[in-house]
Amino acid sequence: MMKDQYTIKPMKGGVYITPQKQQILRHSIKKIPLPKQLFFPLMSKRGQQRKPIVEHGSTVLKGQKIAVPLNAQTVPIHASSSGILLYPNERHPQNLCIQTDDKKQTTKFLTLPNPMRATPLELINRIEQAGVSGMGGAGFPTHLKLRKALQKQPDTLILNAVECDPYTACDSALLREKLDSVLNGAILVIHMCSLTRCIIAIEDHQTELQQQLQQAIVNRPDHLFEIITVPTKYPSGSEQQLVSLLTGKTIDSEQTALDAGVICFNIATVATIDHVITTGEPAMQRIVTISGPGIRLPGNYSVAIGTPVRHLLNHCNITDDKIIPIIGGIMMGQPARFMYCSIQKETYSVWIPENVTPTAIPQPCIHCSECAYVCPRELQPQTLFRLTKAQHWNQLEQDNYLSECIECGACDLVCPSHIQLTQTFVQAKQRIHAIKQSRHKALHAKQRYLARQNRLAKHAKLKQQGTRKLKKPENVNNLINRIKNQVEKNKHNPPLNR
Amino acid sequence: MLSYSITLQPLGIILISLLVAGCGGLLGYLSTRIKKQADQLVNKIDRLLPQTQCAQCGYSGCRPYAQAIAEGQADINQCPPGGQQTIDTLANLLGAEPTSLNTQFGETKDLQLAVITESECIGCTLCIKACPVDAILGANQQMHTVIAQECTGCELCVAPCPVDCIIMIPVSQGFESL
Repeated sequence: MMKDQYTIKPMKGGVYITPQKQQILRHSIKKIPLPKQLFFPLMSKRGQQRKPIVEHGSTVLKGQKIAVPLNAQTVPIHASSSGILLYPNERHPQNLCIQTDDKKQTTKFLTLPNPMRATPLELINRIEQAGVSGMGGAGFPTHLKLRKALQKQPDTLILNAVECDPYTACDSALLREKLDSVLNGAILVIHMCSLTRCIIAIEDHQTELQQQLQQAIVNRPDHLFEIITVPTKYPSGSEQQLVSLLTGKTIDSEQTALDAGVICFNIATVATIDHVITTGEPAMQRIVTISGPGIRLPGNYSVAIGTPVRHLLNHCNITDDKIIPIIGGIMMGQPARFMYCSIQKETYSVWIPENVTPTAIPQPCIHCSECAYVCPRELQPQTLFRLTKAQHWNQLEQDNYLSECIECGACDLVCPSHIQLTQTFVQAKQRIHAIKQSRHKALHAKQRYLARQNRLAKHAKLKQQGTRKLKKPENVNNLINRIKNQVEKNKHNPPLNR
Repeated sequence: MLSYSITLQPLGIILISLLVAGCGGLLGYLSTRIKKQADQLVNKIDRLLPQTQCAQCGYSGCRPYAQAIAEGQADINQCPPGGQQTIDTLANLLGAEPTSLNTQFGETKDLQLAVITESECIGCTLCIKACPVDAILGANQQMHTVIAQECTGCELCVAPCPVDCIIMIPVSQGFESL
């Protein structure tokens, strides 16, 4: 089923961007000291709300659960340091804040003595309680993926080490320095979902890492792992693109990798699974790349979840407030405009621009169709853009597959008119979602209205006929006879539960 | 010659009566078909309306208003809850010129939710009778309450309340309201 290592061709569409990872990988992972304040957004990246469970102003310990999801579609939030919890206010709306102290008090962590003997469900529950979510950018809750995998029964684990973002190298650093953790985590996932093999996908330009991986795998007694190199091209590290590259099956927006018979994890997620299961701690740390033309010494840093981006910049001696860093990759990231923008579980990189340059002014579309050549989903971005401007939502959805857009930003990069296509599509998607929601609500209200009208009509009809009366009372003699019969019956066979 | 015409007469009668019957059938079929299309138009318009059943347009509900639009008796700009977006989509459907909302029927507001001040409720059931979507629960002489999920914010329950204990609050997304 799986394609051979040598037959993997470059993906359709996409762009080749020269990787800039050597400089980032020059030093090992450094630790960033705890900031004075930590911020945790109550809304997850995928738009799910969470509710605080600790009171405003109370003291929390490191590792304590401070907010729980309102439904099972997201993960809880844990305090990544001890301190005082503050509820959202005007200075940090929608964000919980922890004023850290240096007492370093932690909650008790329950360890599992032998995780390989535990049942899959037990392990998945632990992962859910520890708040592990995907660390490759999308932030999909790991327990949901694993639960679904138990139903769908895939046979292969794909470890996604394809860091197609040219300015990010946190996964490479993780592979270089914590390879054991990654492999142990992979073994845990293989145990949980009873898989038969594991493929580590890595970009073809990272030859040193490939050699290191090869050595580690050859020495292992279990022959579960194999390495497959993928041609360097953006965005082949996206889960959908990678799985279609490796299996040859296309995955549309309503499917997941599980529909292609595989389960796919980012290597940082797998390393976190290992950490969570062996130590019993929740997910409170991650590795973040700080890079870009605006920083002299780029590198990888181990950061507590919730650390404000400003604190990272101060640590790297960047004090200019006008520089707005991009968090979450140069291609798909968002500008961190506010002081409460913080590192979350899915934030893999902070990209710092050189200086405050005004963005290029978009010019009209010249229909060069460059965007269509680079679109990895084989869409027609120029048509989508035209329809979005004309607000033809139905056409966008039904005939032009806007929902298939993975917002990779390849079209923005090549557009000679500097049109911000991805941003337009994201807004259009939100608009379509809102319209669908209101339509759904209207339909529901209509059903209730019609049900009420029917009921009132029935009521009126019965009233008109005069049959809306109580049942005729029973004849008293009949009633007495019936009770007598019952008593007679009970005499012969008395009820058992007396 | 004469005998020839006599022999053909019954055949002609049959042919012509068949033709007439065929035409009648066709006309009958077409008339029902065209009526169906008119019904479809009403359905299409009805689907675009917000279904709050608030009667601000001057009709008793969304479907009667849709009927009136389809028959050309009402303008498309009489629906305050739908706002400009509904007017635009209706104009698109009907091929009409999009206009702005006629403010004599009311103004577009953000989504609202009715809340009964429970300490003041006297249990008169008048608001229950007014609610078009059965979003209010309660019984005679008992406190009433609004099922927040079902409330469309149509404000029809506000006027009948004899003690004015129903207030409309804007629906916010903050966690305080959860």
